[in-house]
Amino acid sequence: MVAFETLYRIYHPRLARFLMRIASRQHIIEDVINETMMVVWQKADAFNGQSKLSTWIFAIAYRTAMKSLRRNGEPMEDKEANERASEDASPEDEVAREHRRALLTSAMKALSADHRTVIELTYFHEMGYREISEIMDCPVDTVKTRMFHARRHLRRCLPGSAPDWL
Amino acid sequence: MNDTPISAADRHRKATELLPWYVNGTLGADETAWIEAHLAQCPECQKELAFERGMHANLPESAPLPDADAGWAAMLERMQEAPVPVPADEPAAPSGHGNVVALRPRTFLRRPIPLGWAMAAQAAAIVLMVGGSQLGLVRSSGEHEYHALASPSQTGAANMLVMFQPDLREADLRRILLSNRAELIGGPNASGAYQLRFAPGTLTGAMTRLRADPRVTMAQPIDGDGR
Repeated sequence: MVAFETLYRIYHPRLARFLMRIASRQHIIEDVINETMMVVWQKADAFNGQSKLSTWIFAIAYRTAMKSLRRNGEPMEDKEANERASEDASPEDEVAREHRRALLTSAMKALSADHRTVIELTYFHEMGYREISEIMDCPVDTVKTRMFHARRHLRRCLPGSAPDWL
Repeated sequence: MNDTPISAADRHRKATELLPWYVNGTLGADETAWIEAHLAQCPECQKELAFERGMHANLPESAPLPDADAGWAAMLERMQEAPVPVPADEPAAPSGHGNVVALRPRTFLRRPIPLGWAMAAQAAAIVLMVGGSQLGLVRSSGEHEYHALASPSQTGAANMLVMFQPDLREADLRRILLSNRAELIGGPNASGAYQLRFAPGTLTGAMTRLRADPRVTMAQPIDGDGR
């Protein structure tokens, strides 16, 4: 039990960070974390070491989150956020980094949960595309395509040119 | 530029697709070399690269993370209410079996075993995972520090986690270790698992012998590279 608590506490912040990008409701996030870790506890012996432990746990979390989103009727895509981002994307905002982050947050919310997942796993959790394809249980090309479209969407929502980000 | 227009377009598309993983440093050496060669002669991808780096650096933090202590408390409650761990490929024990559950931690353990022992075996699988975490297979959040539960010793890393029948006598345990030329690195831990080290080249043979030994309930190599 001590070992499991250790594992739980190692993964709690990582899963929370990941799930907060996919789902917005706090109680869903907490529920998905514990549902995920319950699966880890109950099926620990099924982990065969063929993939990294983090890949296995994130894959469980991703599947659990998708099921939960469907069950709870949480929007997978926030169309209003998309509109907000587009309306705000005026040249006057180019110098305000904080405002840019707000725009980016808003633009992220407009993406589908699948697109947000790829962005989050790549940019924040710094995973490779193969690992992401294992977590999402989809072909590598699908990961690349999702990322391609997600980036195109974000670029459309954000004003200014690339160097402004630096 | 020897590329035909079509192949140049394909190369450009491929480079654009790979850029996020070039920026996060997860591409292999070949792909990294390839994309760097492309970047050197593609101003459009250079601009895209700047955007990617901005994205990578500026991805907004999400709201404050939920409290891990509260989460763990809820987890404990949930575990008390949950059924006993049963592997995915194993049907649950039929009701009326009292405190006996069919648990198969690995293919070598197929008999119904007492509940307490089942939990211990499950816990041992978790210990393996945490051991992996401590060996660097899992990136730590950096927010907590833990002492290693299955960490290598100063003299040499354990390469197998072994559990014995709970009523095994010490003399028998010693004989098993000696006959397999195993070195005791650590344990038993709370789950009753011992960390053993076998000489290079003897690990597979020792694992086969241990798994065939009815006094041994688990013999699981500790994989050092995390795959």
